[in-house]
Amino acid sequence: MFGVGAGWASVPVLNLIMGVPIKVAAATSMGIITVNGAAATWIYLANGAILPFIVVPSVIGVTIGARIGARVAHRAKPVYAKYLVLGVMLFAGAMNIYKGCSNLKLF
Amino acid sequence: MDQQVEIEPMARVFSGTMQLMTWIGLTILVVFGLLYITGLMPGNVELEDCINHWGKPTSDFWQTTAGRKANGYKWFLMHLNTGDSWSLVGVALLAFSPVVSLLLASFKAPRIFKLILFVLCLELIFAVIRPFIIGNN
Repeated sequence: MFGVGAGWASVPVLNLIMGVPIKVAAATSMGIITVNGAAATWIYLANGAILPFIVVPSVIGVTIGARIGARVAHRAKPVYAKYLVLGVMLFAGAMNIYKGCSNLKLF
Repeated sequence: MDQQVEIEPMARVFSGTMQLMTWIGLTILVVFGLLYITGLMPGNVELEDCINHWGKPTSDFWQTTAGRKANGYKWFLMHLNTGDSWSLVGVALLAFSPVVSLLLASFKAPRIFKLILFVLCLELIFAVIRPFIIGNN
């Protein structure tokens, strides 16, 4: 409901703990997010909380990015995909820590 | 080393249906959204009002910009002469695509998966009617 599909958690769990190949883990995670996101959408729609003015440009960017990502992932070696996931997670984690500390005025 | 993954017929039907419905939903969403943004089609809310008031809570936003509340699905389904309403029809279609995909996939699914897919479909259908049963919050 917060726009967090927990892909950051499900991909490592599927890959590192359950032994699912990294590309299958990423695709499975996307499937989970899609179904959960679809269920959550109706509440926002019923509240008038979806503005096409914001959605349309976002959707165009996300669709183009997703198609490029899917093609690259298909060709890339799994080990690179794994390092990319790790890198993105590390970056996102560092950014969240930085933002949290900034909000607490620690920096 | 890359592992070979076998794709089951159920998964193929699910992904094929999702892909088709996603393209239809995205096309409706983007085409009508662009018509609305470029001013070629009228909208429920003027773009300038949208920008000026988008920080408000949704109830205040709709009251200020359109003079009415947005509650349930009637508020956009009854205004299909506007570009933004059609865009939201695209969103609704996208949100409904997993239901159709899961239903079609269930025909190709082994018996145990049929039950799981049925429960998933029920959950998604409940999500659609939830605002009418227990309100919008």
